[in-house]
Amino acid sequence: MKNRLRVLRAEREWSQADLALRLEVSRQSVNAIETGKFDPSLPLAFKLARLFETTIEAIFTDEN
Amino acid sequence: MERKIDNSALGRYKKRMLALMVVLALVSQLVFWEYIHNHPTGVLAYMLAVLPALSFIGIMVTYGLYIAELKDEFVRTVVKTSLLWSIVATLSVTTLWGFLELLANAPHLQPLLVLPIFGIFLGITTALVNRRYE
Amino acid sequence: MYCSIKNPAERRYVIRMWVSAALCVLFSTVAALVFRLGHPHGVLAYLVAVLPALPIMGALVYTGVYLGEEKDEFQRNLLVQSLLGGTGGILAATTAWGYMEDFAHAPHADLIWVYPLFWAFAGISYGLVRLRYR
Repeated sequence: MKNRLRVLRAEREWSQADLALRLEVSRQSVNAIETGKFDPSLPLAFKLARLFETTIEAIFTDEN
Repeated sequence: MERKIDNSALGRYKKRMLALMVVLALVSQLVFWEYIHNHPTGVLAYMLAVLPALSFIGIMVTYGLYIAELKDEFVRTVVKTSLLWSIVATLSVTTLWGFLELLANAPHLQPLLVLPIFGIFLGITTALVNRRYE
Repeated sequence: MYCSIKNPAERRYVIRMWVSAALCVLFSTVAALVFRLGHPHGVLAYLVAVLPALPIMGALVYTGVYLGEEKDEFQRNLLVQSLLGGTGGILAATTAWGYMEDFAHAPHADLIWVYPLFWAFAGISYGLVRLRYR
């Protein structure tokens, strides 16, 4: 699923590893989500939204 | 590429359990080879035969518990995908070889080899699945 | 309930699984007849012997493909858990039987039964998993 994670990360100058640490997942997970190859579960999506102080819809683009 | 290790206390406990089971498997295998050459028969033989098998089953159970309690959902997905394609490959090999044995008198494949074959395929599929997501 | 077929992907899958089983039986019969009547040798013998295994391998690969196609996450998760249960079961069974064959002189089992036994374990796992979601 397309998303703005890279932009949001850049705004805070976080590397993928930084984000992974804050989310308590592996860097590989962050990369897979960011490149749209893996969709996070709802709990993880909410965690992302809380972390970036925004909504899930603001991060992820539902292509339908 | 960094290794994806679950470094929580739970992860470490599981890994130690796994190491313990491996040691147990090796030990019971050795004990087994030592004593079985005296050829006990009947029920006792079956019971002794089951011991190393139980160790390997213990290893699998430990691994299963470890997967089930993995926090990282992506790593869990990778592991599940690898396991599934490994069993596809392993079952293909056993079925193929089974028919070759049955019909074309191919040399016998020991059932004991199924687990190591699965293990080899698991290594291959894990590498391939990781590559797909990189 | 969960036994009804809900979508085209699932319908295709069930049909193809039954077709592969039927083809396997058919090819086995043909291959057995060829061996009994024709006495092929060498490479030809191996090619004919391999024939019944091909639908099985196709079914296995298609199961993996279907898992990618199935849109219903919950159904997919149920199947994945069943397959993993089947994997654990069959690996434990072949390892245990391998030891019994080697050391307790249990009767030799044909490898071709590994595949159906895998699905038996998967079926049991499916039952157990569904219980959890009752």
